[in-house]
Amino acid sequence: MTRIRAEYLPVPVVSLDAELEREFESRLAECSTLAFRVAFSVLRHREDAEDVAQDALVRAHRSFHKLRHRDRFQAWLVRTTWRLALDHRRGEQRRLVRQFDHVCASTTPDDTAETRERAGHLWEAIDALPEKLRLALVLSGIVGHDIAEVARLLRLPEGTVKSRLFHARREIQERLQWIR
Amino acid sequence: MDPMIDLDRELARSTQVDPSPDFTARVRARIANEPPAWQWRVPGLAIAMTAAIAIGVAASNLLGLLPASGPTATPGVLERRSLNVVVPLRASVPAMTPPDRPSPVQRIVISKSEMLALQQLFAGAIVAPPPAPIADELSISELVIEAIVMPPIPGGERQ
Repeated sequence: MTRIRAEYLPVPVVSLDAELEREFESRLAECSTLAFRVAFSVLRHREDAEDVAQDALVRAHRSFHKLRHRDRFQAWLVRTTWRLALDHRRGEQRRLVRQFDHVCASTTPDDTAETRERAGHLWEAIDALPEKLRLALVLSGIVGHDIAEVARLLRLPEGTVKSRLFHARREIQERLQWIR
Repeated sequence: MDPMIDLDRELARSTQVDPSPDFTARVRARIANEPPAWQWRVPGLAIAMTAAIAIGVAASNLLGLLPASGPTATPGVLERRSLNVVVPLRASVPAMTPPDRPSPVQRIVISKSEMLALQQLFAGAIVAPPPAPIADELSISELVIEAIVMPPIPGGERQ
């Protein structure tokens, strides 16, 4: 029986696990910031958002070998992170602290008190949106208002994303006018 | 100021936040400390096998206990007895059976008067009364139908 030595093979021999690990590593490098931003848009607390994003990425690593369509990894990660962040937010007892923090986290020291107050009202209006409208709106902010990218991440038609963004903005506008 | 301009600016500002520089390194470290993926399947397999064994044991216990407790579980149904149970009644007089050794045949305890009546019945001492004589012919009296007579109407005739 002729044994073929590895160095004579036309392609390098790697184990399946090593290939998976390498692929996951590349996904991790490109998606870790996305996961953090999704978590931060819900929690608006840096440490909590990092914890939740870390949990989501560890889960992703655990289930990566079962993922058939690798091109859907980002969509899966966004949904998982969103769910984990919502669960974390429901379960945590530091709601009042976070409500103060979210204003501070998204404003700079140069902002006036009026700017901070407006930001607080905005986030209250965003938090009051139905979940599917809120996710579409937040993702559009994360990806720079790229409708096609939001549609890809949510695995929805672009028309549906546009409709959700339109309704989200209208509801926020109504709520802010009512506040003022 | 237009609230929609505020919204776009605030969304852009609070969603473009980056994690701390060591975030990805911490994720990598945590993943490195995780057990391999196959170890996550072991608890699932163990739980599934334990559940299957528990269900099997419970099912076998149920199937094994039900027939044993069948007669007691149906209090409304009388136990079926054959005639052989009645025949050894003669031998089941309390004086003839040893008190400490139970008879292999199932016993029915009845009163002495009932036992005597049954013994007489089996010996033919009790004879059913003869049937009543049946009349040879049925006598039916002749049926007479009388004519109906209408009384005259008082107050004159009709015109």
